[in-house]
Amino acid sequence: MSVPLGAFIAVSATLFFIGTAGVLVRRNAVVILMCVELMLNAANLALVAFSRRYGAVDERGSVFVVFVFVIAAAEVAVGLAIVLSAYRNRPTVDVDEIRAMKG
Amino acid sequence: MPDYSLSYFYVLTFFVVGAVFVTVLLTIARLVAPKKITPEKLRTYESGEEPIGQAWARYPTHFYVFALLFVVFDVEVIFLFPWAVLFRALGGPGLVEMAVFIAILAVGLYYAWKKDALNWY
Amino acid sequence: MTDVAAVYPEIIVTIVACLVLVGDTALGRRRATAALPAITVAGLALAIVATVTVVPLGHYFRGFVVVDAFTGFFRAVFLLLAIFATLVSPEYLERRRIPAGEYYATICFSTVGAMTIALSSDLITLFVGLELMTIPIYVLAGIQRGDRYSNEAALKYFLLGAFSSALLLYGFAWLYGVTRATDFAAIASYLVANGVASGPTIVALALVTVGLGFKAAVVPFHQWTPDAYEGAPTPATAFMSVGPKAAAFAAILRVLVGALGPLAVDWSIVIAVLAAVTMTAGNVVALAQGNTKRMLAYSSIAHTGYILAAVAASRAGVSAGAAVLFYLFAYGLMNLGAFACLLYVDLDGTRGASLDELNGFARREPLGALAFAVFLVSLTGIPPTIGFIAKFYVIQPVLDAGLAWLAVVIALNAVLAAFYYLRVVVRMYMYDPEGAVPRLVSPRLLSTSLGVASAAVVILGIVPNSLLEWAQRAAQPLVR
Repeated sequence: MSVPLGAFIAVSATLFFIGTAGVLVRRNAVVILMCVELMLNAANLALVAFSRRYGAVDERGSVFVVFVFVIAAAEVAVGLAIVLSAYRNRPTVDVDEIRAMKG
Repeated sequence: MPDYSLSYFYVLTFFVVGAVFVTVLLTIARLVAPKKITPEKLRTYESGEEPIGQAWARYPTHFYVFALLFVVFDVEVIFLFPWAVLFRALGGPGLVEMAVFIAILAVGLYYAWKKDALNWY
Repeated sequence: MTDVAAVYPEIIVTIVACLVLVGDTALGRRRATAALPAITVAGLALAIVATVTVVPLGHYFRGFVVVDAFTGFFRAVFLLLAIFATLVSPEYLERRRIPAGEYYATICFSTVGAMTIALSSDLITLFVGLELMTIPIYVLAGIQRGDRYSNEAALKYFLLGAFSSALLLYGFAWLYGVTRATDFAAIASYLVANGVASGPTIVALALVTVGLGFKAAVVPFHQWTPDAYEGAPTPATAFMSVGPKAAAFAAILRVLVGALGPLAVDWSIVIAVLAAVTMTAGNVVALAQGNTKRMLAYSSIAHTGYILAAVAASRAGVSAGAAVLFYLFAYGLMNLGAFACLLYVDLDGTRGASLDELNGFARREPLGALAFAVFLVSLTGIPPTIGFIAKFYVIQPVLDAGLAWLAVVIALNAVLAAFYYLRVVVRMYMYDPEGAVPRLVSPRLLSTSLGVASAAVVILGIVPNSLLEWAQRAAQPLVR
């Protein structure tokens, strides 16, 4: 009773869509960042699932995931630093209010 | 039913029994326990601090720097795991590569240290 | 050890970045301002020398890395742009009290990332390179932490950049799922063997196109560009507008043309339409801008469109690839130069120069104005400059690929663009300065490097042959 590939992909796709919808709908910079993380993890799940299907033949998917982990951590670190320095100058994290330059 | 799904069944049983056990005990306690509220009882425990202000207080953001450094260095360690598992297979070159990797991380830590990011204000 | 020898330039730049960081803390503030740019430029120049020393062309690190003529070209371009960006910055950084060590180290790290993209022969290497290139750029955009505009630029750039990375990664995951491979050659041969595109392949292709479109600022995925370019400190903008752009196109060439080349029938028409929309929208909006920095931001979007047109024409073979490379080189030189010219007038309390501020600029700063005029004329695409040659070489493969309508759009856009570029030149030379003239800064290093760059723009516009041959050789590995 091993879990079929389709189930993993379904979960991954769901996560990805939740993330995308969140990025497009939410206005809080930190929440958007969390949604982006959700999308990255959706991709990770897909990579691992595909990699497992290909089993002993191909481990590149798993290797990819390790790199994505670290990149995501670096991205979060920089992103939160940017949000924080913006917040120090103007206490809001609402991206609609951070609009000094005309869009 | 194959063997391995049987072992899932045990886990499931454990969860159900645990959940029922906890629920029953809490319900009994709620029914049996006396409920007489006096102002004295509602106060903070005698040597505790009286709460001031709201829970939505600002907290100093320099905690953030520590959290940040922790997250970054913590996650970078993931690269050490595959190396540790294949330590013998990778041999000398692997050791050198990891030394370089850690040296680069150390430069980052050194910079953070010199820029006073590690000071507790 | 040949593996390590294959990436000497990248290793050198990484060491330079670390040295700059250590030097920033070890040297005193006064000595650091002089020493750090010197270390950076010397290190980057050494890296250029290292790109010339040859390891045999081919794959390294078990096929994760490839060294070919394409790699060599882009390495040289990225390093030259980084040197140029370093040379124009020091005076501005001091004026605005921007931490110099972080600034130069960030440029170096970003350059390593860009070079990694050029080296990549695998989705993993490419993604790592792309992120290593972009994440420092977010930092660079927001490096002036006390400035609201800089914060906003960084935040917008970061949010959309991270979003686009996620889209791209999901596309890569699907590509891996479909083709069972992450290296470009294997992906291409799988696609050739299996004929027409299936549903999942199209999903992957769409996600990858959108993700890379964000990175290169293709309309409709360009919304972050004007704000990020306008808000970031000007020397950072100068670097941001060229380094990451060239890197994004290196990624586009490697992925779309290299790995997904067999699907060219599916994407080339989409890319052609995107190119037409991008150049037109960029130029039309640039016309309406009253701020020179923002105008140049929109103009850089328009130039993305021209380069993308050459990508769409990849059917035409080597000449299309060579056109992309040549244009990227020309664009890097003239656009970085144009943004850097704003450093003369970018004084405290102003963000970029309003058009009025440039009135009579030629009388106040003759050499600076001459350099700016050369860059603007080149951006317009008027003959004795590299910009003209670049546009000329784009139109040729576009016609060869049977996209005559796109060639017409390019020509019309070039005329449209002349209005707003030459307007600035007219203001510099024919108008009188208005009212109280703010004190100009005339930094020697900035003037010298701009002089050299503008001379290169003209000289390469007159004798472009050797550069063009180099671009053609570099485009060769893309054609199978």
